[in-house]
Amino acid sequence: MPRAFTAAQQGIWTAQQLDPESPAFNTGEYADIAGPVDTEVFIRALRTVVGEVEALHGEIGAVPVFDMSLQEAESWMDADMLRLHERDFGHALFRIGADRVLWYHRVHHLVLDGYGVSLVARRVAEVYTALVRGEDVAPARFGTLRAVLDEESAYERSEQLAVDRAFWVERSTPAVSLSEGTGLPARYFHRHWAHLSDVDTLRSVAKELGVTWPELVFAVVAAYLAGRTGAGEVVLGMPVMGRIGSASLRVPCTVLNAVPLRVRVDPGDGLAVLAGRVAAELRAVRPHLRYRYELLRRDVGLLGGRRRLFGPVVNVMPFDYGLRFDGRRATVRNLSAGPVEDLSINVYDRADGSGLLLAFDANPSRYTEEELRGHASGVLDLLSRALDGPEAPLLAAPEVLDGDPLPQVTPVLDLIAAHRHGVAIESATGDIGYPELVSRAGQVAAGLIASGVGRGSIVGVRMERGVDAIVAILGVLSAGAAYLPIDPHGPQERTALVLADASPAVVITELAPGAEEAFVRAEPEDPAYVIHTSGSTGIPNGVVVSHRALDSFVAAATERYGITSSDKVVQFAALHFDASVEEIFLTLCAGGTLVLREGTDIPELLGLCAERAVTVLDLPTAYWHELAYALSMGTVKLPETVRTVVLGGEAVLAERVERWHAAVGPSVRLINTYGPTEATVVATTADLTGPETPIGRPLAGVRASVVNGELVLSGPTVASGYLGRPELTAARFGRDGYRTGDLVRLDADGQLHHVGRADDQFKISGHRVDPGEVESALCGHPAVRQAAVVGQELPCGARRLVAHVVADHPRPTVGELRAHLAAHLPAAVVPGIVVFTASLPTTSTGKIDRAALRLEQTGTAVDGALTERERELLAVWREVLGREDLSTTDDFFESGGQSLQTIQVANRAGVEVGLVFQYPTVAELAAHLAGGGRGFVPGSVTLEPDVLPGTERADRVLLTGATGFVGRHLLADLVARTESEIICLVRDPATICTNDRVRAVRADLAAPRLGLNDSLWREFTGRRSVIYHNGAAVNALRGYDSLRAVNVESTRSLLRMAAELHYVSTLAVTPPHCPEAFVAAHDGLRSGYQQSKWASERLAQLAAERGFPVTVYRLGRVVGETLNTADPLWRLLIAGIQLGRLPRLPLTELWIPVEQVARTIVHLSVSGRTGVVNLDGVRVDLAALPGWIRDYGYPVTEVPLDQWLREFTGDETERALFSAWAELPAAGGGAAQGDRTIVHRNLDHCVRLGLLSPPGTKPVLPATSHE
Amino acid sequence: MAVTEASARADVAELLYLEPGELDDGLNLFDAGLDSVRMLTLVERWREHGVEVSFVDLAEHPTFGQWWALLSDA
Repeated sequence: MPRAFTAAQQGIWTAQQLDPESPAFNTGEYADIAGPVDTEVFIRALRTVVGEVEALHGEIGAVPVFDMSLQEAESWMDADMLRLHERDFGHALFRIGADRVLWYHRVHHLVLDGYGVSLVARRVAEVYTALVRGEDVAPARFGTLRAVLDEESAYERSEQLAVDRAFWVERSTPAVSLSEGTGLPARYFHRHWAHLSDVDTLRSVAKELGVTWPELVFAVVAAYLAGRTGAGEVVLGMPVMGRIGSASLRVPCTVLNAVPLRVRVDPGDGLAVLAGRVAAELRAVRPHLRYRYELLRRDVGLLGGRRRLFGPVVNVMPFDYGLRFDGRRATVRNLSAGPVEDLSINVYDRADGSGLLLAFDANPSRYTEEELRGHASGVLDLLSRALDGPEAPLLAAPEVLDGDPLPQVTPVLDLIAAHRHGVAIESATGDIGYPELVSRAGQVAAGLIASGVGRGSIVGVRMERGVDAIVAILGVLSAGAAYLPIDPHGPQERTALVLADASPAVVITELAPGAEEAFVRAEPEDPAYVIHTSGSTGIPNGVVVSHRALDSFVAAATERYGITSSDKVVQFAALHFDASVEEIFLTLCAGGTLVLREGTDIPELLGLCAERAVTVLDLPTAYWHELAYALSMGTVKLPETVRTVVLGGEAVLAERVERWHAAVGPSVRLINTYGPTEATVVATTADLTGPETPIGRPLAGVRASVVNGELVLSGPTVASGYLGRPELTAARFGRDGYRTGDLVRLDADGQLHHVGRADDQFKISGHRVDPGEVESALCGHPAVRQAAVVGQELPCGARRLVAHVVADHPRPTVGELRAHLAAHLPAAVVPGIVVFTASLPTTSTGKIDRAALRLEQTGTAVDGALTERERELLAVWREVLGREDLSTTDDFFESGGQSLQTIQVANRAGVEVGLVFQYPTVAELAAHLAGGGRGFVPGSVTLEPDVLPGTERADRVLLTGATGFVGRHLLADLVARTESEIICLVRDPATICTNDRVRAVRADLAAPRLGLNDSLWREFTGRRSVIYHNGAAVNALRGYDSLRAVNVESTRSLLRMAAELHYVSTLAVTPPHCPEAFVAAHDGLRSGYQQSKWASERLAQLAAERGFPVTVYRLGRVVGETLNTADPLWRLLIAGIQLGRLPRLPLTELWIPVEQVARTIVHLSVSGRTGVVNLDGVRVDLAALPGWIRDYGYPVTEVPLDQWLREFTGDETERALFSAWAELPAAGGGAAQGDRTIVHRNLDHCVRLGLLSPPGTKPVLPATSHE
Repeated sequence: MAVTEASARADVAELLYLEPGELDDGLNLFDAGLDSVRMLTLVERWREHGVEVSFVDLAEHPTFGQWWALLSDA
């Protein structure tokens, strides 16, 4: 079956559809040519080559030539690369002084890959050389795309495909990255260039080791990645050019692939060993490089998840790049090799032997520039160290802190059963002694065993905290099984997730009395309990803790806390929180007494302590913070019996520790503990005696290693892993132990200090923010009781810091708090938003619920003088767009709003999506919702009396809308047919290719005085210009009020600068008979767009009556050989062709080719014609469109428009656009004559752009799932 | 120093860890482990000696016999 896309193109096309506006798929480079270049000949050579390259199809367009400095040229190129272009490719030449020329060429990745670009560049050099020397140009030897496609089809039908798939699927393994970020693909990337001059050493070491130098680079990057992540095996991405032994060797096209390269890294490995391993891996994968990575992703189920096939990409460019232009050497500098998902290291070997250039590219949503530089220098340092001693280990030894040797470890049930006397549990409902406790547990065990429970089983315990629950827990253990605590008050959804995850054999909800007792001894590796933690994805992960881990922990912690049989310990924690494990087992194993609490009110708890003579309190840190505060205020008092307080769960505030010490003194031992559930409750502890807040030293048997700042725990208390999550287990429980994700430092006294969570760490504008630091500073304010600072990542990727504050009355102002913070912290980390709250949310385990705070939607309350509605809407705008600087007059779409955000805004503000388009500022939308807005009042369109023709004129043209579909052609024709200076009034001057006649000036049609600065305004209104006013907001959805500034007021401003006005209007302003004259307002003016264009024509008419030379050119639908992708009709047709169904459109329209429009306007304007001109082109009956499309080869059926809109499954905003557009009245009537050629030419263009697959092939539908 | 058949054969053999005598004219070099980076090394080396041969030409011809034909033509 014939096909039109290479598999690589399909992959790129699909990726581009996820963000159609993204310029990330532009690739580009420039050749730096040492010597004078004949630019005219060069452009001829370019034309020749573009004509030869099948994939480039089409005209080359203008090739601007600039005289600029290198720096200016590079900025121009950077700006060009960051734009989305209509044309797939572009060129420019820069003369940098007399003897240096840069040839810039940009191409969409869909069209050419890096190798394809190199083929084109070589051919350009060859043709240029021949032309300059007056020699015959040798024929091009490019192969055909067809041959490449046929070859791919053959591969897809071959048995090799299955062989390759099996090879890769079997090899696939989780990949680690240098970033914990989950950032989406970005539209641009950070780049850091590094230079490696000593390639001789690189090459000679490679030769000694019997490998190639790129294999050394791979080995070093693998070692760096393993060192930074602690992973025992890393997966690098390796782009493969897919040319050798293929027809594509001579075809400029896109075929490249990328494969995962697995590299095991062991601690003692030196460069020699690792490079050998890389070389062996490369040999093993070489026969399988044709298998597409998009397919592999699907095969291994990576679609839609955050997991990826590989981590950092290492791209060694092995292209033959010794370009010579008429003998003059050129070096090539890459500008972009395409989108950067995570981190890419592109290695360029300079042909002149001057060394390697390495471009480190990073996705800005995952790495700051500072981090990128750090990684770049880290890789290069490691490389140079490795080359110095290829045998020396590449991984740095981590800092290690070992706990003392474990004391004797005895199974917990043996310890509990050994106690014959004393009260095990005291509660409001009565006490229970040890023999009874053990006996009742034995009865529970007997019942469980009878129902088939045994070693390795999981038994749910879903009971209120109380004696029975503890009996149940001990009963489960006595049956040899593991208990799974389930919060009886937990949300149903979570309970369901936990039950589904663990599928317990039995769930105990109440105890039935029994007589028999039984006991099954578990082995050390058998699970003792499973506790679910909240995964970062919101799906709970069940941590499986073995008997060995539990027994070891109890032995170590009992020793560290000094718990004895005389202690009375409050059972405070919920059972599904592992602090309860500590309380229950430490107390019962020591023979002490557990005291069950009732409420959590501080005075109530302290009352219980006093009443029951409690000696040990074990509290969640957030709760303890409250307690310390209350004690310091003297509102409560700690009973004298309490001798030890253990706190843990989150970082402790130094400020509260100080309060505690001041209020309680040193007689009570205060133990700060740290430990993830994955390392069995507590891993390190510190006695807090001064203002410091360390997490201290490891418990006996625990080893704490600090690997690149992250705490890694190993020893017998490390959990067995996550239930049913082998990949997550592999990722977190690595070679060195459990990676906690907590950042720590080891101080000189051998104490560990918690620095923050790796995943809490938040970066704003490149500053690393530690929320704990900001919270401490906030709590330093006398009125602040509690504070939690969280980073929010908004849907658009913007980041902000939000402080949630509990404050005493009188509450400080936000300004006071910010001033307080600014005195203590760098400005960048002062939270942009401060929210006062009565209390901070906590999780069911007593920690501050940061996840909930992160999700909390907050705005700012600093905007005075706004209506309630404006305030609400502005909060939504700011939140969705992630910009605090928005005001009520900012345009949503100009402030970064796109279709997704439009829907979010509409949902959150509770308005129709269409209204957001119609009223794109908060002020307009609020006014509309309030029933206001003046709207379109034809009689009120007047021209101020002082707008009069001028006396002085300059030989100057002012052009608006020069970057639009018509404007680009207009500019070209004005350059060709007039002699005047042409000044383009554009929003971004960099978008115009300027030269000695063409200038670009920054302007905003919607702003007063077009946003021109004073001197320009004076200059332009003083000496008048010939104005071509072609710019307008063309939007069928927006209302008159929102279009008035840009479409009407701009004309008013321009008249003040006009010697002549040439106004580009639309046939949509005319009534059906299309008079070629100014028209009065009529009923057909329905959309805001029509109304605004009519109002602008009205201003032109009034000006003409005052003696201005005015010409109005009304256009029908402007079409071209290349598609106007902004045209709703074409978007609708493309969507319809993909659906196989088109709406019936009973309209006729006038279509006119863009070239004809531009030519006619310029011709008539220089001929001096004034008045109204209708440029009506060809009448097209839209009802004929489906037929023409079928003629072209797409099998489409027809359905009524409303049905079609209902069945349209794409973007909501597109649907709104289509339906609004289809309601516009057709311009004019008359017989349909039709022109299907133009439709077919545009369909050709759609196919070339990849918007449609060619007819007769399986349609390529836009992707709906993110990868 | 010009590129001779013997020197070119030695260059290729070295990258494949072979003795020049072991490099048969008909041996498929890609099957023998010659990858794009190694090929580029050769292109550069020969270009330094004044022999213009392109990566593409070499990549299209998998044997040393064919390579020498290209090199001696260049």
